[in-house]
Amino acid sequence: MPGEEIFYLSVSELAKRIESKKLSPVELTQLYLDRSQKFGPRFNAYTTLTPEIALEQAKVAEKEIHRGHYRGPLHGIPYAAKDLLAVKGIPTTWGAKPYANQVFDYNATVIDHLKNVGAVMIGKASMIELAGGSGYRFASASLQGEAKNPWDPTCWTCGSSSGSGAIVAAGLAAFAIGTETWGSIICPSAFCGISGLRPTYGRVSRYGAMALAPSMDKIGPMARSAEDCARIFAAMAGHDQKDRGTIAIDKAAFTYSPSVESRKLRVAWLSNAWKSFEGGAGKPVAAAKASLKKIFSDIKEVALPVGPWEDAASLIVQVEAAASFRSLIRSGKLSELTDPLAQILGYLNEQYSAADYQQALKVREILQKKMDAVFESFDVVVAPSQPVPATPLTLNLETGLAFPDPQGAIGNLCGLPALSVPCGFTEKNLPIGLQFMSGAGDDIAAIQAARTFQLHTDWHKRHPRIH
Amino acid sequence: MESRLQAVFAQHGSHLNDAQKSDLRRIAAEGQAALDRLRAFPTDNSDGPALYLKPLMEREKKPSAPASAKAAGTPKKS
Repeated sequence: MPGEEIFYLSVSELAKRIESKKLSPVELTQLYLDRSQKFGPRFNAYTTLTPEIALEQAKVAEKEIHRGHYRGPLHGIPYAAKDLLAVKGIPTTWGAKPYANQVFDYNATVIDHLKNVGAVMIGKASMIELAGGSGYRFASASLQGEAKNPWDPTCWTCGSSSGSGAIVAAGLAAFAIGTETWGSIICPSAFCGISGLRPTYGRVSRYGAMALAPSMDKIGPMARSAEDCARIFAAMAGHDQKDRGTIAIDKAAFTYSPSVESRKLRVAWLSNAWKSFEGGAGKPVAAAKASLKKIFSDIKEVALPVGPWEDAASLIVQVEAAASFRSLIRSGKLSELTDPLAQILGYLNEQYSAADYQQALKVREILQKKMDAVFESFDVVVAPSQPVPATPLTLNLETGLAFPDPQGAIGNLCGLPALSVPCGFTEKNLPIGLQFMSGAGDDIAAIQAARTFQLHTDWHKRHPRIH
Repeated sequence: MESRLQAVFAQHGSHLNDAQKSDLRRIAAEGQAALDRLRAFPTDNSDGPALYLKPLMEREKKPSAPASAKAAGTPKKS
Protein backbone atom coordinates (compact mmCIF):
# COMPACT_ATOMS: atom_id res chain seq x y z
CA MET A 1 0.00 0.00 0.00
CA PRO A 2 1.58 3.29 -1.03
CA GLY A 3 1.89 6.14 1.42
CA GLU A 4 -0.45 9.10 1.55
CA GLU A 5 1.91 11.19 -0.58
CA ILE A 6 0.82 9.51 -3.80
CA PHE A 7 -2.60 11.11 -3.43
CA TYR A 8 -0.99 14.56 -3.50
CA LEU A 9 1.31 14.08 -6.45
CA SER A 10 0.77 16.57 -9.23
CA VAL A 11 -0.61 15.51 -12.58
CA SER A 12 2.83 16.11 -14.05
CA GLU A 13 4.47 13.79 -11.51
CA LEU A 14 1.80 11.10 -11.88
CA ALA A 15 2.09 11.33 -15.66
CA LYS A 16 5.83 10.63 -15.56
CA ARG A 17 5.25 7.48 -13.53
CA ILE A 18 2.37 6.34 -15.72
CA GLU A 19 4.20 6.97 -18.99
CA SER A 20 7.22 5.06 -17.73
CA LYS A 21 4.90 2.24 -16.62
CA LYS A 22 6.01 2.56 -13.00
CA LEU A 23 2.44 3.35 -11.98
CA SER A 24 -0.63 1.49 -13.16
CA PRO A 25 -3.67 3.66 -14.07
CA VAL A 26 -5.93 0.87 -12.79
CA GLU A 27 -4.16 0.70 -9.43
CA LEU A 28 -4.08 4.49 -9.14
CA THR A 29 -7.77 4.71 -9.94
CA GLN A 30 -8.63 2.03 -7.40
CA LEU A 31 -6.57 3.85 -4.77
CA TYR A 32 -8.38 7.11 -5.40
CA LEU A 33 -11.76 5.34 -5.46
CA ASP A 34 -11.05 3.66 -2.13
CA ARG A 35 -9.92 6.94 -0.61
CA SER A 36 -12.93 8.77 -2.04
CA GLN A 37 -15.31 6.15 -0.64
CA LYS A 38 -13.64 6.45 2.75
CA PHE A 39 -13.23 10.21 3.03
CA GLY A 40 -15.63 11.69 0.46
CA PRO A 41 -18.65 11.54 2.80
CA ARG A 42 -16.65 13.24 5.57
CA PHE A 43 -16.38 16.36 3.44
CA ASN A 44 -19.65 15.98 1.46
CA ALA A 45 -17.36 16.09 -1.53
CA TYR A 46 -19.18 13.95 -4.06
CA THR A 47 -22.65 13.68 -5.50
CA THR A 48 -21.86 10.33 -7.06
CA LEU A 49 -18.86 8.08 -7.37
CA THR A 50 -18.61 6.35 -10.74
CA PRO A 51 -16.40 3.30 -10.14
CA GLU A 52 -17.68 1.41 -13.18
CA ILE A 53 -16.83 4.24 -15.58
CA ALA A 54 -13.55 4.90 -13.78
CA LEU A 55 -12.27 1.35 -13.86
CA GLU A 56 -13.36 0.83 -17.45
CA GLN A 57 -11.55 4.01 -18.54
CA ALA A 58 -8.51 3.11 -16.44
CA LYS A 59 -8.30 -0.37 -18.00
CA VAL A 60 -8.49 1.13 -21.48
CA ALA A 61 -5.75 3.61 -20.57
CA GLU A 62 -3.55 0.88 -19.18
CA LYS A 63 -3.92 -1.26 -22.28
CA GLU A 64 -3.18 1.67 -24.57
CA ILE A 65 -0.07 2.66 -22.63
CA HIS A 66 1.21 -0.90 -22.60
CA ARG A 67 0.76 -0.97 -26.37
CA GLY A 68 2.83 2.18 -26.63
CA HIS A 69 -0.08 4.51 -27.37
CA TYR A 70 0.47 7.19 -24.74
CA ARG A 71 -2.03 10.02 -25.17
CA GLY A 72 -0.28 12.62 -23.02
CA PRO A 73 -0.12 13.96 -19.48
CA LEU A 74 -3.74 13.23 -18.53
CA HIS A 75 -3.69 9.63 -19.76
CA GLY A 76 -4.77 7.39 -16.88
CA ILE A 77 -5.17 10.30 -14.44
CA PRO A 78 -8.29 10.20 -12.20
CA TYR A 79 -10.43 13.33 -11.88
CA ALA A 80 -13.84 14.48 -10.65
CA ALA A 81 -16.32 16.62 -12.59
CA LYS A 82 -18.58 19.22 -11.02
CA ASP A 83 -22.11 17.86 -11.00
CA LEU A 84 -23.41 20.37 -13.50
CA LEU A 85 -21.57 18.68 -16.36
CA ALA A 86 -23.66 16.15 -18.22
CA VAL A 87 -22.35 12.61 -18.24
CA LYS A 88 -24.37 10.17 -20.28
CA GLY A 89 -26.46 7.84 -18.15
CA ILE A 90 -25.26 9.24 -14.80
CA PRO A 91 -27.39 11.56 -12.64
CA THR A 92 -26.50 15.22 -13.12
CA THR A 93 -28.21 16.94 -10.23
CA TRP A 94 -26.97 20.55 -10.52
CA GLY A 95 -26.69 20.19 -6.73
CA ALA A 96 -30.41 20.79 -6.40
CA LYS A 97 -33.31 18.66 -5.24
CA PRO A 98 -35.63 19.50 -8.17
CA TYR A 99 -33.00 17.95 -10.48
CA ALA A 100 -31.96 15.08 -8.23
CA ASN A 101 -33.04 12.45 -10.78
CA GLN A 102 -31.99 14.29 -13.92
CA VAL A 103 -30.10 12.09 -16.41
CA PHE A 104 -28.78 13.21 -19.79
CA ASP A 105 -28.19 10.94 -22.75
CA TYR A 106 -25.05 12.74 -23.88
CA ASN A 107 -21.76 13.98 -22.48
CA ALA A 108 -20.73 17.57 -21.97
CA THR A 109 -18.03 18.56 -24.45
CA VAL A 110 -15.54 18.92 -21.60
CA ILE A 111 -16.20 15.34 -20.48
CA ASP A 112 -15.62 14.11 -24.03
CA HIS A 113 -12.42 16.14 -24.36
CA LEU A 114 -11.05 14.66 -21.14
CA LYS A 115 -12.09 11.18 -22.24
CA ASN A 116 -10.29 11.69 -25.53
CA VAL A 117 -6.99 12.39 -23.78
CA GLY A 118 -7.43 9.33 -21.58
CA ALA A 119 -8.39 10.98 -18.27
CA VAL A 120 -10.37 8.78 -15.87
CA MET A 121 -13.59 10.14 -14.36
CA ILE A 122 -14.08 8.78 -10.85
CA GLY A 123 -17.11 10.81 -9.81
CA LYS A 124 -19.29 13.89 -9.84
CA ALA A 125 -18.31 16.61 -7.40
CA SER A 126 -20.91 18.16 -5.11
CA MET A 127 -21.78 21.82 -5.63
CA ILE A 128 -23.94 24.67 -4.41
CA GLU A 129 -27.48 24.22 -5.73
CA LEU A 130 -27.83 25.69 -9.21
CA ALA A 131 -24.29 27.04 -8.67
CA GLY A 132 -25.92 29.82 -6.71
CA GLY A 133 -28.24 30.75 -9.55
CA SER A 134 -31.02 31.70 -7.16
CA GLY A 135 -28.66 33.06 -4.51
CA TYR A 136 -27.73 31.37 -1.24
CA ARG A 137 -27.28 32.37 2.34
CA PHE A 138 -25.57 29.35 3.88
CA ALA A 139 -22.86 26.83 2.99
CA SER A 140 -25.51 24.13 3.37
CA ALA A 141 -27.16 25.26 0.11
CA SER A 142 -26.56 21.94 -1.60
CA LEU A 143 -28.27 18.64 -2.19
CA GLN A 144 -25.25 17.02 -0.49
CA GLY A 145 -25.10 19.39 2.47
CA GLU A 146 -22.29 21.79 3.25
CA ALA A 147 -18.91 20.94 1.74
CA LYS A 148 -16.39 20.76 4.56
CA ASN A 149 -12.89 22.11 4.16
CA PRO A 150 -10.21 19.40 4.47
CA TRP A 151 -7.95 21.92 6.25
CA ASP A 152 -10.58 22.41 8.94
CA PRO A 153 -13.91 20.56 8.64
CA THR A 154 -15.65 23.23 10.72
CA CYS A 155 -14.98 25.60 7.84
CA TRP A 156 -16.45 25.84 4.35
CA THR A 157 -14.74 25.18 1.03
CA CYS A 158 -16.43 28.21 -0.57
CA GLY A 159 -18.67 27.72 -3.59
CA SER A 160 -20.05 26.97 -5.93
CA SER A 161 -17.39 24.45 -7.00
CA SER A 162 -17.36 23.32 -3.39
CA GLY A 163 -16.94 19.57 -3.89
CA SER A 164 -14.26 20.13 -6.51
CA GLY A 165 -12.27 22.13 -3.96
CA ALA A 166 -12.68 19.53 -1.23
CA ILE A 167 -11.76 16.64 -3.55
CA VAL A 168 -8.47 18.15 -4.68
CA ALA A 169 -7.52 19.42 -1.21
CA ALA A 170 -8.25 16.06 0.43
CA GLY A 171 -6.35 14.09 -2.22
CA LEU A 172 -9.45 12.24 -3.42
CA ALA A 173 -8.57 12.79 -7.09
CA ALA A 174 -5.64 14.28 -8.97
CA PHE A 175 -7.73 17.16 -10.24
CA ALA A 176 -11.30 18.34 -10.58
CA ILE A 177 -13.33 20.43 -12.97
CA GLY A 178 -15.08 23.51 -11.64
CA THR A 179 -17.07 26.34 -13.14
CA GLU A 180 -17.14 30.03 -12.46
CA THR A 181 -19.70 32.70 -13.17
CA TRP A 182 -18.38 34.95 -10.41
CA GLY A 183 -15.85 33.51 -7.95
CA SER A 184 -16.76 29.82 -8.08
CA ILE A 185 -13.31 28.57 -9.10
CA ILE A 186 -11.14 31.28 -7.57
CA CYS A 187 -12.73 31.27 -4.11
CA PRO A 188 -12.82 27.48 -3.50
CA SER A 189 -9.25 27.24 -4.78
CA ALA A 190 -8.18 29.91 -2.28
CA PHE A 191 -10.13 28.48 0.66
CA CYS A 192 -8.92 24.94 -0.06
CA GLY A 193 -5.25 25.75 -0.70
CA ILE A 194 -5.20 24.49 -4.28
CA SER A 195 -4.54 25.95 -7.72
CA GLY A 196 -7.54 26.89 -9.88
CA LEU A 197 -7.72 28.41 -13.35
CA ARG A 198 -10.64 30.48 -14.61
CA PRO A 199 -9.95 30.57 -18.35
CA THR A 200 -10.81 33.39 -20.73
CA TYR A 201 -14.53 33.37 -21.43
CA GLY A 202 -15.25 31.30 -24.51
CA ARG A 203 -12.11 29.17 -24.59
CA VAL A 204 -13.83 26.14 -23.04
CA SER A 205 -17.13 24.88 -24.40
CA ARG A 206 -20.09 24.91 -22.00
CA TYR A 207 -22.09 22.47 -24.09
CA GLY A 208 -23.67 20.02 -21.68
CA ALA A 209 -23.01 22.27 -18.69
CA MET A 210 -25.82 23.82 -16.69
CA ALA A 211 -26.36 27.41 -17.81
CA LEU A 212 -26.46 29.98 -15.04
CA ALA A 213 -25.55 33.29 -16.65
CA PRO A 214 -24.55 32.33 -20.20
CA SER A 215 -22.65 35.53 -20.88
CA MET A 216 -20.43 34.90 -17.85
CA ASP A 217 -20.27 31.11 -17.32
CA LYS A 218 -16.83 29.51 -17.65
CA ILE A 219 -15.36 26.06 -17.00
CA GLY A 220 -11.87 25.49 -15.63
CA PRO A 221 -9.51 23.09 -13.87
CA MET A 222 -8.76 22.89 -10.14
CA ALA A 223 -5.53 21.06 -9.37
CA ARG A 224 -2.26 21.01 -7.44
CA SER A 225 -0.24 23.52 -9.40
CA ALA A 226 -0.41 26.17 -12.09
CA GLU A 227 1.39 23.79 -14.41
CA ASP A 228 -1.25 21.10 -13.84
CA CYS A 229 -3.99 23.64 -14.54
CA ALA A 230 -2.28 24.56 -17.81
CA ARG A 231 -2.04 20.94 -18.91
CA ILE A 232 -5.69 20.25 -18.07
CA PHE A 233 -6.81 23.50 -19.70
CA ALA A 234 -4.96 22.47 -22.87
CA ALA A 235 -7.09 19.32 -23.02
CA MET A 236 -10.34 21.22 -22.42
CA ALA A 237 -9.92 24.33 -24.56
CA GLY A 238 -11.17 24.74 -28.09
CA HIS A 239 -13.93 26.09 -30.27
CA ASP A 240 -17.16 24.10 -30.22
CA GLN A 241 -19.96 24.58 -32.72
CA LYS A 242 -22.35 23.35 -30.05
CA ASP A 243 -21.53 26.33 -27.80
CA ARG A 244 -22.00 29.61 -29.65
CA GLY A 245 -20.19 31.35 -26.81
CA THR A 246 -16.88 29.74 -27.73
CA ILE A 247 -14.46 31.99 -29.55
CA ALA A 248 -12.88 31.30 -32.92
CA ILE A 249 -10.87 28.16 -33.51
CA ASP A 250 -7.47 29.84 -33.65
CA LYS A 251 -8.12 31.83 -30.47
CA ALA A 252 -9.85 29.17 -28.38
CA ALA A 253 -7.26 26.43 -28.69
CA PHE A 254 -4.49 26.25 -26.12
CA THR A 255 -1.31 24.24 -26.23
CA TYR A 256 1.04 24.09 -23.30
CA SER A 257 4.60 23.29 -22.55
CA PRO A 258 6.60 25.05 -19.83
CA SER A 259 9.03 26.07 -22.58
CA VAL A 260 6.41 28.44 -24.06
CA GLU A 261 6.73 30.56 -20.91
CA SER A 262 9.49 32.72 -22.27
CA ARG A 263 8.03 36.23 -21.95
CA LYS A 264 9.40 38.81 -19.58
CA LEU A 265 6.16 39.60 -17.83
CA ARG A 266 5.11 43.07 -16.77
CA VAL A 267 3.50 42.41 -13.41
CA ALA A 268 1.53 44.79 -11.19
CA TRP A 269 0.12 44.48 -7.70
CA LEU A 270 -3.51 45.58 -7.47
CA SER A 271 -3.63 48.31 -4.86
CA ASN A 272 -7.41 48.44 -4.46
CA ALA A 273 -8.60 44.84 -4.78
CA TRP A 274 -9.68 44.60 -1.14
CA LYS A 275 -10.43 47.18 1.50
CA SER A 276 -9.11 45.14 4.43
CA PHE A 277 -8.06 41.67 5.48
CA GLU A 278 -9.66 39.64 8.23
CA GLY A 279 -9.33 36.29 9.93
CA GLY A 280 -5.54 36.47 10.00
CA ALA A 281 -5.19 36.84 6.22
CA GLY A 282 -3.20 40.08 6.42
CA LYS A 283 0.07 38.54 7.59
CA PRO A 284 0.42 35.85 4.88
CA VAL A 285 -0.71 38.37 2.26
CA ALA A 286 2.05 40.77 3.32
CA ALA A 287 4.60 37.96 3.17
CA ALA A 288 3.35 36.91 -0.27
CA LYS A 289 3.63 40.47 -1.53
CA ALA A 290 7.21 40.58 -0.29
CA SER A 291 7.94 37.31 -2.10
CA LEU A 292 6.46 38.70 -5.29
CA LYS A 293 8.78 41.69 -5.10
CA LYS A 294 11.74 39.35 -4.98
CA ILE A 295 10.46 37.11 -7.77
CA PHE A 296 9.31 39.93 -10.07
CA SER A 297 11.86 42.59 -9.23
CA ASP A 298 10.25 45.31 -11.35
CA ILE A 299 6.72 44.75 -10.07
CA LYS A 300 4.63 47.93 -10.08
CA GLU A 301 1.33 48.91 -8.47
CA VAL A 302 -1.85 49.63 -10.34
CA ALA A 303 -5.42 50.38 -9.31
CA LEU A 304 -8.52 48.84 -10.79
CA PRO A 305 -10.84 51.35 -12.44
CA VAL A 306 -13.63 52.53 -10.16
CA GLY A 307 -17.26 52.22 -11.19
CA PRO A 308 -20.46 50.27 -10.66
CA TRP A 309 -18.91 47.06 -11.95
CA GLU A 310 -20.26 44.87 -9.17
CA ASP A 311 -23.71 46.35 -9.62
CA ALA A 312 -23.57 45.58 -13.33
CA ALA A 313 -22.22 42.08 -12.77
CA SER A 314 -24.88 41.32 -10.15
CA LEU A 315 -27.69 42.49 -12.39
CA ILE A 316 -26.44 40.52 -15.38
CA VAL A 317 -26.10 37.35 -13.30
CA GLN A 318 -29.53 37.80 -11.71
CA VAL A 319 -31.34 38.53 -14.97
CA GLU A 320 -29.64 35.76 -16.94
CA ALA A 321 -30.16 33.29 -14.08
CA ALA A 322 -33.85 34.17 -14.04
CA ALA A 323 -33.99 33.27 -17.73
CA SER A 324 -31.90 30.12 -17.27
CA PHE A 325 -34.15 28.81 -14.49
CA ARG A 326 -37.39 30.24 -15.81
CA SER A 327 -39.26 26.95 -15.82
CA LEU A 328 -38.22 26.22 -12.25
CA ILE A 329 -39.23 29.70 -11.09
CA ARG A 330 -42.56 29.59 -12.92
CA SER A 331 -43.34 26.13 -11.57
CA GLY A 332 -43.04 27.37 -8.01
CA LYS A 333 -40.46 24.67 -7.30
CA LEU A 334 -37.93 27.13 -5.96
CA SER A 335 -39.42 26.07 -2.65
CA GLU A 336 -37.75 22.67 -3.13
CA LEU A 337 -34.33 24.25 -2.96
CA THR A 338 -32.48 23.93 0.33
CA ASP A 339 -31.41 27.46 1.06
CA PRO A 340 -33.86 30.08 2.37
CA LEU A 341 -32.51 32.74 0.02
CA ALA A 342 -32.48 30.41 -2.98
CA GLN A 343 -36.15 29.63 -2.31
CA ILE A 344 -37.19 33.22 -3.02
CA LEU A 345 -34.56 35.24 -4.89
CA GLY A 346 -35.38 33.81 -8.30
CA TYR A 347 -38.81 35.43 -8.14
CA LEU A 348 -37.25 38.87 -7.70
CA ASN A 349 -34.62 38.21 -10.35
CA GLU A 350 -37.37 37.93 -12.96
CA GLN A 351 -38.53 41.46 -12.36
CA TYR A 352 -35.61 43.60 -13.51
CA SER A 353 -36.33 45.73 -16.55
CA ALA A 354 -34.78 45.17 -19.95
CA ALA A 355 -33.54 48.77 -19.85
CA ASP A 356 -31.60 48.11 -16.64
CA TYR A 357 -30.10 44.95 -18.14
CA GLN A 358 -29.12 46.88 -21.26
CA GLN A 359 -27.52 49.56 -19.09
CA ALA A 360 -25.48 46.86 -17.36
CA LEU A 361 -24.31 45.58 -20.74
CA LYS A 362 -23.27 49.09 -21.77
CA VAL A 363 -21.33 49.44 -18.52
CA ARG A 364 -19.65 46.12 -19.30
CA GLU A 365 -18.52 47.40 -22.71
CA ILE A 366 -17.08 50.55 -21.11
CA LEU A 367 -15.30 48.45 -18.49
CA GLN A 368 -13.82 46.14 -21.11
CA LYS A 369 -12.14 49.14 -22.74
CA LYS A 370 -10.84 50.40 -19.38
CA MET A 371 -9.34 47.00 -18.58
CA ASP A 372 -7.93 46.81 -22.05
CA ALA A 373 -5.99 49.96 -21.20
CA VAL A 374 -4.70 48.37 -17.98
CA PHE A 375 -3.38 45.41 -19.95
CA GLU A 376 -1.64 47.73 -22.41
CA SER A 377 0.76 48.51 -19.55
CA PHE A 378 0.84 45.18 -17.73
CA ASP A 379 0.63 41.52 -18.67
CA VAL A 380 -0.53 40.31 -15.26
CA VAL A 381 -2.13 41.94 -12.25
CA VAL A 382 -1.90 40.24 -8.85
CA ALA A 383 -3.90 40.44 -5.66
CA PRO A 384 -5.06 38.14 -2.88
CA SER A 385 -7.82 35.84 -4.15
CA GLN A 386 -9.94 36.58 -1.08
CA PRO A 387 -9.45 38.93 1.89
CA VAL A 388 -10.32 36.17 4.35
CA PRO A 389 -9.45 32.50 4.92
CA ALA A 390 -12.11 29.78 4.88
CA THR A 391 -15.18 30.84 6.83
CA PRO A 392 -17.19 28.84 9.41
CA LEU A 393 -19.78 26.44 8.00
CA THR A 394 -22.59 28.22 9.80
CA LEU A 395 -21.74 31.75 8.64
CA ASN A 396 -24.56 33.79 7.11
CA LEU A 397 -22.89 34.46 3.75
CA GLU A 398 -25.32 37.23 2.87
CA THR A 399 -23.74 39.34 5.59
CA GLY A 400 -20.47 37.56 6.42
CA LEU A 401 -19.05 37.31 2.88
CA ALA A 402 -20.62 40.49 1.55
CA PHE A 403 -17.45 42.57 1.19
CA PRO A 404 -16.89 44.39 -2.11
CA ASP A 405 -15.20 42.26 -4.78
CA PRO A 406 -14.31 44.58 -7.67
CA GLN A 407 -11.61 42.19 -8.87
CA GLY A 408 -14.05 39.31 -9.21
CA ALA A 409 -16.69 41.50 -10.80
CA ILE A 410 -14.27 43.00 -13.31
CA GLY A 411 -12.58 39.73 -14.17
CA ASN A 412 -15.83 37.94 -14.78
CA LEU A 413 -17.63 40.81 -16.51
CA CYS A 414 -14.76 41.10 -18.98
CA GLY A 415 -14.16 37.36 -19.30
CA LEU A 416 -10.55 37.68 -18.13
CA PRO A 417 -8.47 34.64 -17.17
CA ALA A 418 -7.22 34.28 -13.60
CA LEU A 419 -5.32 31.67 -11.67
CA SER A 420 -5.47 31.34 -7.90
CA VAL A 421 -2.58 29.64 -6.12
CA PRO A 422 -1.83 29.14 -2.43
CA CYS A 423 0.47 31.83 -1.00
CA GLY A 424 0.56 31.16 2.73
CA PHE A 425 -1.39 30.13 5.79
CA THR A 426 -3.01 31.87 8.72
CA GLU A 427 -2.01 31.09 12.29
CA LYS A 428 -4.98 28.68 12.37
CA ASN A 429 -3.42 26.83 9.44
CA LEU A 430 -6.00 27.94 6.87
CA PRO A 431 -4.71 28.59 3.34
CA ILE A 432 -4.67 31.98 1.64
CA GLY A 433 -4.67 32.39 -2.14
CA LEU A 434 -3.07 34.77 -4.58
CA GLN A 435 -4.83 35.57 -7.84
CA PHE A 436 -2.94 36.25 -11.08
CA MET A 437 -5.19 37.87 -13.70
CA SER A 438 -4.26 38.64 -17.31
CA GLY A 439 -5.82 40.06 -20.45
CA ALA A 440 -8.49 38.27 -22.43
CA GLY A 441 -6.99 35.45 -24.44
CA ASP A 442 -3.65 35.81 -22.66
CA ASP A 443 -4.23 32.90 -20.28
CA ILE A 444 -0.60 31.90 -20.69
CA ALA A 445 0.54 35.11 -18.96
CA ALA A 446 -1.46 34.32 -15.80
CA ILE A 447 -0.23 30.72 -15.96
CA GLN A 448 3.40 31.73 -16.42
CA ALA A 449 3.27 34.23 -13.55
CA ALA A 450 1.58 31.77 -11.18
CA ARG A 451 3.96 28.99 -12.15
CA THR A 452 6.94 31.29 -11.63
CA PHE A 453 5.59 32.07 -8.15
CA GLN A 454 5.28 28.34 -7.47
CA LEU A 455 8.83 27.68 -8.67
CA HIS A 456 9.98 29.98 -5.85
CA THR A 457 7.57 28.85 -3.13
CA ASP A 458 6.23 25.56 -1.80
CA TRP A 459 2.79 26.52 -0.48
CA HIS A 460 1.15 24.45 -3.22
CA LYS A 461 2.95 21.33 -2.02
CA ARG A 462 1.37 21.44 1.42
CA HIS A 463 -1.72 19.44 2.14
CA PRO A 464 -3.94 18.66 5.09
CA ARG A 465 -3.45 15.47 7.07
CA ILE A 466 -6.46 13.25 6.52
CA HIS A 467 -6.84 10.21 8.79
CA MET B 1 -38.89 48.67 -6.21
CA GLU B 2 -42.49 48.45 -5.04
CA SER B 3 -43.73 47.61 -8.52
CA ARG B 4 -41.25 44.74 -8.77
CA LEU B 5 -42.36 43.39 -5.42
CA GLN B 6 -46.03 43.66 -6.30
CA ALA B 7 -45.35 41.81 -9.54
CA VAL B 8 -43.65 39.02 -7.57
CA PHE B 9 -46.50 38.81 -5.07
CA ALA B 10 -49.11 38.83 -7.83
CA GLN B 11 -47.40 36.05 -9.79
CA HIS B 12 -45.93 33.92 -7.04
CA GLY B 13 -47.63 35.03 -3.84
CA SER B 14 -49.23 31.63 -3.37
CA HIS B 15 -45.75 30.09 -3.04
CA LEU B 16 -44.58 32.59 -0.43
CA ASN B 17 -45.31 32.84 3.26
CA ASP B 18 -45.30 36.13 5.16
CA ALA B 19 -41.72 35.72 6.35
CA GLN B 20 -40.53 35.12 2.79
CA LYS B 21 -42.46 38.14 1.52
CA SER B 22 -40.87 40.22 4.23
CA ASP B 23 -37.45 38.83 3.30
CA LEU B 24 -38.02 39.71 -0.35
CA ARG B 25 -39.03 43.24 0.62
CA ARG B 26 -35.78 43.64 2.59
CA ILE B 27 -33.69 42.23 -0.26
CA ALA B 28 -35.37 44.48 -2.81
CA ALA B 29 -34.83 47.51 -0.60
CA GLU B 30 -31.17 46.66 -0.04
CA GLY B 31 -30.66 46.08 -3.76
CA GLN B 32 -32.17 49.38 -4.78
CA ALA B 33 -28.97 51.32 -4.06
CA ALA B 34 -27.02 49.10 -6.48
CA LEU B 35 -29.67 49.63 -9.13
CA ASP B 36 -29.58 53.38 -8.58
CA ARG B 37 -25.79 53.45 -8.93
CA LEU B 38 -25.98 51.48 -12.13
CA ARG B 39 -28.70 53.72 -13.57
CA ALA B 40 -26.73 56.84 -12.65
CA PHE B 41 -23.58 55.73 -14.44
CA PRO B 42 -23.23 57.92 -17.53
CA THR B 43 -23.62 56.05 -20.79
CA ASP B 44 -24.14 57.54 -24.22
CA ASN B 45 -26.55 56.61 -26.92
CA SER B 46 -23.52 55.46 -28.90
CA ASP B 47 -22.19 53.14 -26.19
CA GLY B 48 -22.65 49.64 -27.48
CA PRO B 49 -24.02 47.01 -25.15
CA ALA B 50 -21.92 43.89 -24.83
CA LEU B 51 -24.94 41.88 -25.87
CA TYR B 52 -22.95 38.68 -25.80
CA LEU B 53 -19.62 38.92 -24.08
CA LYS B 54 -16.82 39.08 -26.57
CA PRO B 55 -13.53 39.38 -24.76
CA LEU B 56 -11.33 41.97 -26.40
CA MET B 57 -8.33 40.13 -27.72
CA GLU B 58 -5.06 41.45 -28.97
CA ARG B 59 -5.52 40.55 -32.59
CA GLU B 60 -9.00 42.05 -32.65
CA LYS B 61 -7.82 45.27 -31.07
CA LYS B 62 -4.92 45.77 -33.43
CA PRO B 63 -5.64 44.34 -36.86
CA SER B 64 -2.47 44.20 -38.86
CA ALA B 65 -2.31 46.75 -41.63
CA PRO B 66 -2.73 45.45 -45.17
CA ALA B 67 0.55 44.75 -46.93
CA SER B 68 -0.19 47.36 -49.57
CA ALA B 69 -0.63 50.06 -46.93
CA LYS B 70 2.70 49.16 -45.35
CA ALA B 71 4.39 49.22 -48.71
CA ALA B 72 3.03 52.68 -49.37
CA GLY B 73 4.65 53.89 -46.18
CA THR B 74 1.41 55.06 -44.60
CA PRO B 75 2.38 57.11 -41.56
CA LYS B 76 1.15 55.98 -38.16
CA LYS B 77 -2.09 57.40 -36.85
CA SER B 78 -3.24 58.21 -40.35
